[in-house]
Amino acid sequence: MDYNKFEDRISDWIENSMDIKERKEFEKYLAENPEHKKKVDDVRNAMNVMQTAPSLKTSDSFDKKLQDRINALNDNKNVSSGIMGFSRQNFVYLTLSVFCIFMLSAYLIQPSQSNYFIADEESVTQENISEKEDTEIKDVELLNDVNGSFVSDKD
Amino acid sequence: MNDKFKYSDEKLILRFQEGDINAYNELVKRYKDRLLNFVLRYFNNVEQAEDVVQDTLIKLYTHASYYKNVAKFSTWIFTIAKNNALTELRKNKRKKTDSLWTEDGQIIDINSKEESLDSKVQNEIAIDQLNKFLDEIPENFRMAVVLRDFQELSYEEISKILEIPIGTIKSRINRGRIQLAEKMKHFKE
Repeated sequence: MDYNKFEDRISDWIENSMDIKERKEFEKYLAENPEHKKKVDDVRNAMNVMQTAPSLKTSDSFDKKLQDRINALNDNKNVSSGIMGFSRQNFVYLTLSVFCIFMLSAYLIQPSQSNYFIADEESVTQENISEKEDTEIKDVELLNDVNGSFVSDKD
Repeated sequence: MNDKFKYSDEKLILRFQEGDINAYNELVKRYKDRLLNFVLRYFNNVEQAEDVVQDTLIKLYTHASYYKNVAKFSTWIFTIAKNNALTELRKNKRKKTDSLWTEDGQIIDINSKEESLDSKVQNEIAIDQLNKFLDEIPENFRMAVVLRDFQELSYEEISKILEIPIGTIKSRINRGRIQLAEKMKHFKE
C-alpha cells in the first residue's frame, strides 16, 4: 500500500467499512509508518467535532411564519374553488356587470332608431305602393273589359 | 434515527397524504433544524437559509402527493432543500461575507475576537471556527461531509441527494475530512 492509497482509505478504516484483507493491509501500513497514524487521529477528531457539534435552531418566528404561509395558501385555495373559477363575490360582480351592459345596450338602441327597423319600414312602404299600383291596373283592365264588351255588344 | 419516534418519517408522510395535518406538523418539527443546518452550508446567511427551509416545507405541504414510498423520506426532503438552495443561489449570486454564525443562530463578525473567544468550544474547536473551516473547503466536498457527519445520512442517501455516484461521494467525504482535519490541526497549533 502506498501513501495515496492509505489516504484514500482513512474514512473506510475509521468507519469500519473494509473487508478483513483490506483492513489488515491498512493496519500493516500504519504499523510500518507510525508517523501517519497522527493523520488518522486528526480525521477521527474532525469527525467527532462535527458529529457532536450543536446544531443551529430555527428562529422563534419560524413556525408562525410557516403557519401564515400555509394559511395564505389555504385561503387562495378556497377562493379558487368558487363559481366557474371566480370567487363568489367576483362572480356576483361579474353577473351584475353583464346585466347592466345588457340593459344599457337595450336602452341606447331603440327599435325606431335601428337601421333594421328603418329598412323594414321601407320595405313595407314599397309593398303598399306595389299593392296600390296593382289595384289601379286591375281597375283599368276591368274598365277595358267593360268597354270591350260594350263594343262587342254594339257590334 | 427514527427509532425514538412512535412513527417513522415514511409513516408520517403517508398519514399526511391521507389528510392528517398533525403528521405534517411532526415532520416539520423533526426536519426544520436539520434542513437549516444543511442549507446554511450553501448560503452562510441564517435568514436566507431559513427562507429556503420555509420554501422546502411549503413544498412538502403542497406536493406531498409526489412522494412515493420507494425512497426514504429524508432523501426526498433533502433533495428538495438542495434544489431550492441551488435555485436561490442562481437567483442571487452568492455573496462572500466575512460573517459567521454562533450556535444560537446569530451572525457575528469573525474579526470580533471577543465574540469568538466567548463562544462555546467543543473538542478545543469553537463551533464558529468549525463553520469557518467548512466554508473554506471546496463546496462539493463540504456538502458531502455535512450530509454525512452533521446529518448522519448513509452514503447511499447522499449519493441520491447530490446525484453523484456512491464511489465519488465516498472519495469526496474522505478528502473533505482530511482537509478539515488539516485546518483544525493548524488552528490548534
